[in-house]
Amino acid sequence: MLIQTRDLTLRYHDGTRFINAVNKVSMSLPETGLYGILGPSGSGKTSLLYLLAGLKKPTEGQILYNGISYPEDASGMNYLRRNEMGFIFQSNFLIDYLTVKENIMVGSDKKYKDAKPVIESIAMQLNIFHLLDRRIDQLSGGEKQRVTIARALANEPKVIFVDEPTSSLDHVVGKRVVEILEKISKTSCVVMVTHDESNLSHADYIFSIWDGKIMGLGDKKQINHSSLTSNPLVTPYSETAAQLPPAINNPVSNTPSIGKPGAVSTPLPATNPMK
Amino acid sequence: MNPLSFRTYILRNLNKVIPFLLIISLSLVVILMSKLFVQSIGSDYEASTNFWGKYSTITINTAEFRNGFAEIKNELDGLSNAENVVIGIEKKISINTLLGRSPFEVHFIDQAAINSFKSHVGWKLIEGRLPESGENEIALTNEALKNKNLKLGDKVGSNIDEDEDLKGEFTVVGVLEGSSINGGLSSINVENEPTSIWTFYVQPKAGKEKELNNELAKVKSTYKNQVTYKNQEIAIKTQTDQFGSINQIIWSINVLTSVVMTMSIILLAYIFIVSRLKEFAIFEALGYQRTRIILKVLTEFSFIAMVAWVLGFLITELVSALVNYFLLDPVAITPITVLSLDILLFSLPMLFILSISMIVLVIGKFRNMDPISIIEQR
Repeated sequence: MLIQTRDLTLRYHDGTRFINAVNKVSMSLPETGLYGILGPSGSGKTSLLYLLAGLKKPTEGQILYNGISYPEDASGMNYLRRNEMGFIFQSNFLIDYLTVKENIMVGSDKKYKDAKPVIESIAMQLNIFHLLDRRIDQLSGGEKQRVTIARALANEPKVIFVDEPTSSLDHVVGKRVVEILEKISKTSCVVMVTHDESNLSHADYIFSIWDGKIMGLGDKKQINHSSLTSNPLVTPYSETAAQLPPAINNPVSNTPSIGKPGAVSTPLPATNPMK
Repeated sequence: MNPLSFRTYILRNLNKVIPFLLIISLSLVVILMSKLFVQSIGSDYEASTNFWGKYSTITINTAEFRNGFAEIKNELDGLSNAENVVIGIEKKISINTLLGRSPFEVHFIDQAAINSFKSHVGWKLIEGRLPESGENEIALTNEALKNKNLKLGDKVGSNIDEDEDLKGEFTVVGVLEGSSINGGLSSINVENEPTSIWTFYVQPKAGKEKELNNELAKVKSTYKNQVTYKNQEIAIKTQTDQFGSINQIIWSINVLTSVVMTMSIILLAYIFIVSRLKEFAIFEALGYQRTRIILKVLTEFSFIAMVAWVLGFLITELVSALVNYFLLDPVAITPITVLSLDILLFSLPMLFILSISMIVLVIGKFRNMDPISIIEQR
């Protein structure tokens, strides 16, 4: 397994009470495939994504990368994030004063001449090769989103975290972006957060999240509305609130993880070689 | 171009960087110019006190004590640390300064001693001749002439200009040049001036200035208000007292300006940083060390501050040259120049405060920065 979590919890205080944005989530993600995290606004899906990407630290629980716990220190995590991970944000977070080429290179430690073959190949695939020397403010929304994808791919990451990639795009461009991500998922692990089920029509697995808890999961064959409602492992968010009595919240931490059973209970190494 | 290089940001954002840079530069210009004017005023005063390093003076004050001339002269001749005593009369001539018209001394010296007096003061006759006694003649330093827009053969005095302190009308017959830039020299025949208020110019023996001043202080204490005693220390103090309040006002304005400008620049820098938080959040989210981002920002600020500092100096020098050419040179007021160690040192505190503020500001802002909150636009 590439990434495994065990009882992952993110708790914060909203001024009056503690809220579990992510509540005892245990999951496993293999080396390749498209994995969806589906849920409504405020369900905790983006928080879960940030935890998986190491952008937030869990209050409780652990995350393993290739069987090794995430580094505790910022520099170790930064190293991991820069060399093994890519991130596509909800909005196209690009640096305005840089060119497309430079924005793509921001995520890379390499010099452009060394990274050129990879960057140009990615740019060709994403159909932004002709834009490489343009400044960001000269691009359309769809072009910008493709640049963020290119940036996420520049380091040839093992895992790419994607946060609502189509929320700011029109349907046609959004569909194209999803197709690109599906293609990438053939060779990398792509974890996509979305509230739009149609983005996950080709997902290998979908984690349905509600109130910070994984409520169910399914494979791509199950990702249609009728199967979602009938499959006990996959609980569509739109019906979760109505269907689940409060007592059902507890067993969620025992939701079976993808991959080999018991994988997440693998003893953790005493020292972290990532450091 | 390296995306994280400070040059990339600066070169791609000249529309934001240049106004920021100019504000720092112009702030420096304002501060330096005020310092330069204060320095110019101070140096005019300082130059006028050089004379008193050569001679200390005892002047008879009251008409009733005119008869004490011989008594005091005898006493001064007997001073063990006095090399020479020259008799004369001290009068005033007005010159223009940055603070308006200001009186400087013209020394009416006994005809017999005028040559040695001139030499000891350090004046050199560069044009014309020395004044003759009884002829209402005067020799002025070239600075004083330039300041009053006069030339050889012109006339000066209260008959020419009613605001002039020099009584009567005197013809300029000589031009002097030397260490004491303001003032002048005239000649007098002691025997023909029985009712004048005499000044005794007492020259100290070499290295005995302090001892002589002690002796003269005793003379002063003997005759109390009947005489006025002046040495270089007193001259400087007098000048400082006259100049001091103006100096304080200028310095107060200077400090206030510096504080306001520094705060404005810091506020501007704060806005500058806040407007770029998204950029910093992206860098951090992509795995850049926060310290590396902080260093990038500080390097950018340092570079902008350094360029602004140099530019500020260049603009100040340009403004100084214009001020010298149009305002100061025509009236022989000490020209201002930014190319001095004093000015360089004077500008450093602003640069230092600015740098420290930037470091505190950047580190403070980054310490509290949560890239995820920024990315989530919370």
